[in-house]
Amino acid sequence: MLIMLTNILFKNSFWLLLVLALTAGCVAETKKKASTGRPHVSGLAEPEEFFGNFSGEHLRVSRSGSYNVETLWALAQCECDPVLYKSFMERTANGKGVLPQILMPSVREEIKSNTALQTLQKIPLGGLLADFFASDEKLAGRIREGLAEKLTRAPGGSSLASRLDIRFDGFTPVAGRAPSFSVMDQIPRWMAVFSADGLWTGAETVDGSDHGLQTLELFRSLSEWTYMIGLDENTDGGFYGGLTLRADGAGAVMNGPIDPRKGSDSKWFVSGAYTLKYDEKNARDLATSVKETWSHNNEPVTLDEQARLWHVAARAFGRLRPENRKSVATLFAGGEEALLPADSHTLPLAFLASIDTLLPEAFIDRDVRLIRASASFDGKSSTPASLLALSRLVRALTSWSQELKTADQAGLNAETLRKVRGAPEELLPAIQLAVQTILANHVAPAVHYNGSYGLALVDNGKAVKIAEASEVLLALTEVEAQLLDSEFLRGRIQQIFDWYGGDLLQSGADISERELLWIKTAARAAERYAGDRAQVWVKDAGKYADELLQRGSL
Amino acid sequence: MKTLIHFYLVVTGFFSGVSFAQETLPRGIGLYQLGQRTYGLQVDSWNADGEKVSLGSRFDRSFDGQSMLSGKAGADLKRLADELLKYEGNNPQAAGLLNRLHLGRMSGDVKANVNARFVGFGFGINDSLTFFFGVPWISASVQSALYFSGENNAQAIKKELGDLAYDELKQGLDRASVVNEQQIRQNILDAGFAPFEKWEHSGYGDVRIGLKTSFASRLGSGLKLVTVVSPTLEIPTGYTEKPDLLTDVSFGKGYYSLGLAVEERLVIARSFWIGVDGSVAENFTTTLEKRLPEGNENLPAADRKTTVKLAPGDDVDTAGSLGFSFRWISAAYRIGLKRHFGDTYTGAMDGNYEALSANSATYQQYQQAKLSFSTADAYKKRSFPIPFILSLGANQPIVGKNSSDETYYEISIASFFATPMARSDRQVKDKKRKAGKKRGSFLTKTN
Repeated sequence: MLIMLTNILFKNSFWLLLVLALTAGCVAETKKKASTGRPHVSGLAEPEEFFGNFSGEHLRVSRSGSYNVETLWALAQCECDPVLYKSFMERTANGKGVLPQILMPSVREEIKSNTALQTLQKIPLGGLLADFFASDEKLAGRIREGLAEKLTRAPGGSSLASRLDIRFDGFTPVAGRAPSFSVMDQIPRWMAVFSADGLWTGAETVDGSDHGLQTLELFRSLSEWTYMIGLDENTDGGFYGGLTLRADGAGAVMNGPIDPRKGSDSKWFVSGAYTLKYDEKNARDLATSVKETWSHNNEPVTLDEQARLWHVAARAFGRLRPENRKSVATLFAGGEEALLPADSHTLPLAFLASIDTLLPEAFIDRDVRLIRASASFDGKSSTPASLLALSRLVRALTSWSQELKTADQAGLNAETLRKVRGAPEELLPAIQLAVQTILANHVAPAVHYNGSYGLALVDNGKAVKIAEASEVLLALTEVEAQLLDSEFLRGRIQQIFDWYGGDLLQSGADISERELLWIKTAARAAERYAGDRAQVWVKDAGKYADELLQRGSL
Repeated sequence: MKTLIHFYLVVTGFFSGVSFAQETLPRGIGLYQLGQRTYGLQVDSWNADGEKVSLGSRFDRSFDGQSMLSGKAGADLKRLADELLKYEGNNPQAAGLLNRLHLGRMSGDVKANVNARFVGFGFGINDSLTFFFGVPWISASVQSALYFSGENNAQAIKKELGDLAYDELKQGLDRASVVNEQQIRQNILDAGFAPFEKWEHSGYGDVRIGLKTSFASRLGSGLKLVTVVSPTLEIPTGYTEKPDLLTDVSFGKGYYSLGLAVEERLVIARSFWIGVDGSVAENFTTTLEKRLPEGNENLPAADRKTTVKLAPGDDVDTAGSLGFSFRWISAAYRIGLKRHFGDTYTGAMDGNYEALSANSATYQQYQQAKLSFSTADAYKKRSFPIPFILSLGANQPIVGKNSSDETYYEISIASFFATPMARSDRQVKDKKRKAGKKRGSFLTKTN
């Protein structure tokens, strides 16, 4: 109709084209308004203007490139991007991991103990039937059914298995490729499981449906840790997995399974990348007879990696402690049939052994008060840790310190309690050293770095960017709020927030999704320091970041 | 603090008693001289800026953050300052922890008493060349006391740091909060120094030997120009500072010194004179034991004792003088300036050698006055039985840099004796007649 009318009114094709163009513009504008139907935060300027991006383009959050460790690590701290969280977790839930689900110990033992299969195998030619009943597809289906059954006992129940083709593979790589996985790759997912409030507090679900996704990843994470440490006994008298390492000369070598419950003083840790090898067979034979082997890449053990791992473990301990299980009670109910054993919270405690192994000598040179970037088993390295690694160490040790202060309320046995009771006091000097090192080597007047306000955070001679600054501020605010009561430290933090809000966020550069996530985290941290001009700017920045994240699309 | 009293005593001029008579002794005639020099109570000196400061000012020290950081307050407090500075990004801020830290102020009270006696000897080798020799005997005592005062805010700094401060730092701040003179004194003793409250010593100073020659020329009626040349050698026999003592005083230079002095004097009407003189001394390298500081530390520990090589700077002295004589009395006034160029220290041990030579360059303007009473003429006329010269002198520094307040009063008496080498009066007259010149005996004036 519109085109016919146009033909009547305008005989000149030029005018026709002009009208069509104008009409198309109106339609586009209408669509634009429809897509931003979510109301702005009242009284605030456009986010683009706030962040200094005057390109005039609609600032969209691009998800491409989001599946990298740093963005996912930011996601795990923020809990403010449900779209990305759901996308990430679903990717793992149905993704293929380095350790096929058929080799996960719980699955293997289940298959091994299946009496029908055992009977069939013993009957002559029954092996063919056994193969039929235990074909790869059937086993995969059986595993999915088993998971689905377990997930019905997730808090509030879950229909995840009906929505997603879930798997129970271990060590799904983020950026790596099978048959190798790196510990660093897994850390953001583990952190996401334990940091998102949804499952643990009965708050909103992470995927808008139910707690099945988070519950499944909880099972997977605990299974992976169990496998890495080598706690699962197999029916042949050995242990599944065991990817621990020990120091050997200047490097690290594979150490095999460790059972911390047996009071061993063994010095072990997990780190770096592991490569799996096994003979390719059908699923049934893989489950029942294959002995997989792992090799380690022998890369330096970095403080960055270990600090994040220790932080995840502390978070896990906090979530799994008996007194914090109200919202996940169904996972522990059922006695012998419980989905998770009552002492599940002791599993993260195993990682304290790696703190004991690596922190006092390998990472910290006490004589010169140096925190190293990588573990030095021969004491020769003097490369200092980066600002981010230091801040991650602060957060990790602060978390453990806070959790273990109330260890006697965590239902631990006497022996375990005896071992961990002194940990907060032992960790305190390392925390103080890390904070002192940050203040000594990474904080400088902003005017020295083209800034105007307060104190800038610097690394390698340059002021750091938004993401790094946010994470450091989070670390400093956490340690100040929870552990180190210090008027001096509060003053420094406020001055750093002055620079963060007054200079860094106003720099006019484009802002990435990772940075938006961190801005939200920093804004939450800044609430403790209300009243200062920069904190007001930081809070506003948090609101704008939230809006932009909501605007983003897959 | 080792240069608490840089009080090198140069006991010279003990031959000056005969400066109004013949500059040289006739052949075979000897002279002996005894003197007493009193420096009195020394309480101040000149610093490197030429300001008069008390001797105790070298103890004066503010125990503030910057002083502690520079090492001037000791190794422990430097470490404390280093750790506090880290919290400020190794960049001290005006109102930051380090610049606000203040533990108090130390000051000192130092008094020194010095007296010297000297013995001089001269002998006329021939009529125009005289040999002389002298040595002082010095007694000195130094009394010192330390005081500590002012507010100490170490506990406030510790409170501000709160839980951020680790245990050792808290303990360091606790110890810093109770710094007092007893602690400082103990630190000094712990560093291996001997108790410093009182020190006294008596002993020889440096021996000086030399030659003197003079010649005169008539410029006209009643005018005569006299030139005196005197090479000297100082032998380091005097006591020198010890590395384990803080407040001792050197009696000698510690090194050999070869000097040359030249004086020009215009004598007017046989009674008045005006003159200028100058001397240069080349000082020779020596080795001695010192505590070598590291960085800016003021109290090097005992294990920092080492043998160092000292290349001393040279000495120069110039002065102008005027005087008169009438019958038995003569008087003179001299004003001059002297300078010692800076010393250089070197050695095998690593350390701050510049600190050893700091303030070694000295400068002083001074004035001297002398009144003499001589019986030499009366003895010649056989109206007095004993020839002697009694002198009263005073020396007063006017301005100085890195030098002590060498104000002293001196009394000396000199007398003569003849040896078989000496000529009789008759032989002297014969010689004069042959030379066509009128010359009196050794006790006649040079006019």
